[in-house]
Order: sequence, then structure tokens, then C-alpha cells
Amino acid sequence: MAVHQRTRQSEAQLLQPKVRKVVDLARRLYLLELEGFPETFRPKPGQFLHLRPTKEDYPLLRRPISLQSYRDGVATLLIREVGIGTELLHRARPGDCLDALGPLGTAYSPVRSGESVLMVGGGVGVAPLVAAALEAEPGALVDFCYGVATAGEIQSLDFLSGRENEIRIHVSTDDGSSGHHGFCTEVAERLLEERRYAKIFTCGPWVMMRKAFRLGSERKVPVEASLEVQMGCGLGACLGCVYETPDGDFIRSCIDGPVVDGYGVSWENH
Amino acid sequence: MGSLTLANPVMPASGTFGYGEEFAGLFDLNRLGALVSKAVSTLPRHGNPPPRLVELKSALLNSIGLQNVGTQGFIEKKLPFLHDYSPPLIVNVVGDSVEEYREVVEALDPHERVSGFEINLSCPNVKKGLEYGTTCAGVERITSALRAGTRKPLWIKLSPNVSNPAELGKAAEGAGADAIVAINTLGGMVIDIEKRRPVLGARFGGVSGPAIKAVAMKVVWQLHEAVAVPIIGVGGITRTEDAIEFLMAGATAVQVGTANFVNPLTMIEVIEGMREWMGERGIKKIREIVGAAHG
Repeated sequence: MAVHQRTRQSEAQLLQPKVRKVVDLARRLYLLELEGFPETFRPKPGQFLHLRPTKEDYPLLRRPISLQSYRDGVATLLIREVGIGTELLHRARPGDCLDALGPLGTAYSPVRSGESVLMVGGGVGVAPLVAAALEAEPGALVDFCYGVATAGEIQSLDFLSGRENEIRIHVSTDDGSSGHHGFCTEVAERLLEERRYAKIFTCGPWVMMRKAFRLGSERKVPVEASLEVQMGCGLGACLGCVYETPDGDFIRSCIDGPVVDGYGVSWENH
Repeated sequence: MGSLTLANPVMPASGTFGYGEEFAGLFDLNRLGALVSKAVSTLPRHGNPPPRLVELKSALLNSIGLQNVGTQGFIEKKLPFLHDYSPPLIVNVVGDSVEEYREVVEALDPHERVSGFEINLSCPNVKKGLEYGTTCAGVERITSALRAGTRKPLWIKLSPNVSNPAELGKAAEGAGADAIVAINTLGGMVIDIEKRRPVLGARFGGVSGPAIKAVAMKVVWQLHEAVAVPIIGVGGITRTEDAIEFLMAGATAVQVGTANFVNPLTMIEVIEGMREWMGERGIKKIREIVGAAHG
């Protein structure tokens, strides 16, 4: 149903970007800004960087982090500290050189002029949606449902406004400290009753994405979801990051995803 | 390496390098000593249910379950790409029975691009793979059956999950193996204490990565004392010094596995690093250091 832009492995490069800034947003939640990418680095919304947190053997694997934006040579990543890898990345200081592989994975389909798109993001899951909203063509309308636990975790998305397209941000918080008191999928449901959307983009906790998918499928709206699965190589070789499709096939989230057609995911089996 | 000549002693470990395509955009595959394919069975295999990976301290637990395209899929979809590269191509073969192993070998044997076979007797992620790999009689039986099916180099890949790997190596050598590959992953598991369930979809998996290097080293050492055929050392190599250590334990060549996931250029760095290390010490041939630690 939805059209995904499949990455060719050859687009991926080994990169040594420099840390420009680390901005703390809340406890264990930060923005990592990287610069010094080559001309040939042209990430699409939804793609990720596979970052190596250390040169040592522990933690061993790279961490796949979606790009929130890539503008004027600066890549911004929104990261929640969930373990040793994201903790080490948090400790990076301006000028530090990182080991990054990318851009990797599939992208969200382009948001065309005249299209209305509903974006449903929870927590750090908003990052690839911000990238998709930034790339929306002039004349597009984006309703951006942004759900977080509490007001302190909201990052300013002012840079999305004042553009030639219309991007409306609808904040919701679990504790009611800002915007709608409750889930962002509740806001999404209300919006879906008012307007017909060309497609829904979602990224965030599995339960939230499953709800967003159900809202879309009940109304026969295409849904594109960005999945998070424990990843190995990021290149499609190790077959470690698979998830199951309704046909019982296994699809790799690194190469066939992370952005996938919501109708191709077995939402109940998780 | 027996009847095979390698430009250098470094190659990927099966299953960590796909069928080569995945890495071709990052470096020139022609720089490798050999190419080793992901496992190939007669029919395509679906693999194990996810989750398939758990990161451990300096190690990785996996249970991929030998998901692969099958022999015909390999011939039609993967082999054409590999024709564009010159290093010897070793196909890793897996099966549920002696007949299945033999079917794969015989189907691939006529293909000129296939230089030899690595027989996976030791994957902990399939029920029957280990049955052949854990007894001398089993190893002998399968090695002789396959020896009769091909004249191309036949490498037997051993499991560390046995009490007597060197004896198994001897059994393989006696039945006609051209080389012994050691080791495959160590059996392992992890439990999610909140869910009170194993983390892996298949419960058990195989442990790889830097943490298993010392285990592999001992097996290679013991094999060196037990067999005359070349040994290919594999387990936890991430840097030049690791590879040299394996050579000194008795390996003639090495395979790099999990490190490919972390630093895709590991093999290239090890090839260059070994050249430099040897140059600095006036060592001209690899064989000058093979088994050097045995005194």
C-alpha cells in the first residue's frame, strides 16, 4: 500500500562526524548534534545512523538512532538514555569524533503538496516524524500529534512553523502538564473524525503504534510505521532484527525497515 | 590451505557477512583472503522466531536459526553477484540429515565459482545440526559421505559444545577433511526476570564475540597438537593482535565474525595490521608464526 523508498546498501557510508552540541532536554533525554558529513551524505526522513558508542568491546554493538533533521550540514538526533550505549553517547563532548554508519534503512514516503498527513509520535519516536514534517512540500498539511509523559520532555518544535506548508502541533502529556491530558492517539482519533488524511505516519512505543495503525485501518488510510528492534549489523547481513509479517515471513527492520507499511506488520504478535 | 591458495589468511565467519553483497559498498571484497557464504540448506529456511539477538558484555547471543535462501535460491540469486569477485568462495553447508548435506554439496559442486565447502556440524540453533557434530562416529560418517561427493576442499566446522573437540578434529581429518574450522558459537541463554521467560524466541542461542576468544584459542591449540591439516581459527577476533594470537596457537588462517557487525572494516584492518606487524619483525611468511607458541 504505502510506498517506501528502499535504501541500497551502497548508500551507506562509514562516517566520522564531529559532535557539535549535546543539549539536555530532560533527565536522560537529550539532543545530539553532529556535523562534518561529506557532500554525499543525503539522508531521507525515517533513515537512521548506526552509532558506535565506544571503541572498546563493551558495549559491543552499534546503536541505531533515527535522524530528527539534517539541515545546513548538521544532523540532530533525539536520544533517550536507556542503557550503557546511549549513556556513553550522552557523555560525548563538542569536538569529539564519532563512528557512524549511514544513512541506513527505508524512509517515509514524501509528503506531497495538497496532501494532508497525520503524524502520531510518542517520546523519542517523534524524531523521524520531525524529519518527515520538515521535508513536507509547500502546500501540504501536517497534523503532528506529539505525545510525551510530562511537559518537561517536550522539545521546542518552533522550527517547524513559519513554513510554506501548514504544520499543526498537538501536544499531549500522560500527566496533563501540557496540552491534552492523555494519549496522543486520542488526539489523533479526534482529528481523524474531522478530516480525511492521505496517510498516517507513526513512530513510538509499540502499543501506541498499534493503536495508530488500528485508527488508520478502520478508515482505510495507509499507515507507515517506524519499528524499533534490537539490531546487529544494520546492513541486512546478520538477520538478527527481523519482525514477523501477517503472512508469517520475517522482514529485517534495518534494510526492509525501519519504516514499513503498517499493513505488513503482525501487530498482535509482539 | 591444502589445495587452496589464499592471498591472505583473513576471511569472514559464515553468517556474519551475508552473501557478501551487504558489505560490498563499504570495501572491496577482493581484498579478502576468501569469501565464506551464509549457511545454505537444500530448501529455503525460515529461521527462528524473534527476538533473535541479545547483547551481552563483550559478546552477542544469537538464534537466527540458519534462515537462508536454499540451494536454488543461492545459485540463482546470490552466486551471480559473487562471480564479480576473485577470492575463493567457500559455501557453508547445513542440513538435517547426511543426505541433505550431500544434496547441497552435490548441487553446488559443478559450479566453478564454488571453490570449496565449509560443513556446519555445529550450529547450536538447529535441533539436528549438533547430532553429527558431537561424536567422532557422527563426524566421520558425514565427512566421508561428503568426501565421496566432491573433490573440492572440504572444511569441517566444529562445535565448542563438546568435551573433546580435538578428537572430533582427528575424526574429520581421518575421514578426508581438508581443514578444520574452530569454533562455532557457544550455547547460551538469557532470561527476562520480569517476564519470567527466556529472551530469545528460540530460548537458546549461540554466544559469539570478544568474550569467547580464549575458549576458541584453547580449541585451536589442542587441534594443532592433534591434526596435520590446516586449522582455521575463529572466535572473538576484533583486531590484528587477536588474529596473530590464533596463528601462534596453530591456525593457518582466521575468520572474523561478530566484529563485522561492529566495525565492517575489521577484516581489512586485520589484513593490513598483520602485514605491518610481520614487516616490523622481519617475518616473511605466515607459516613462520603458525603454532609458534607451542615451542
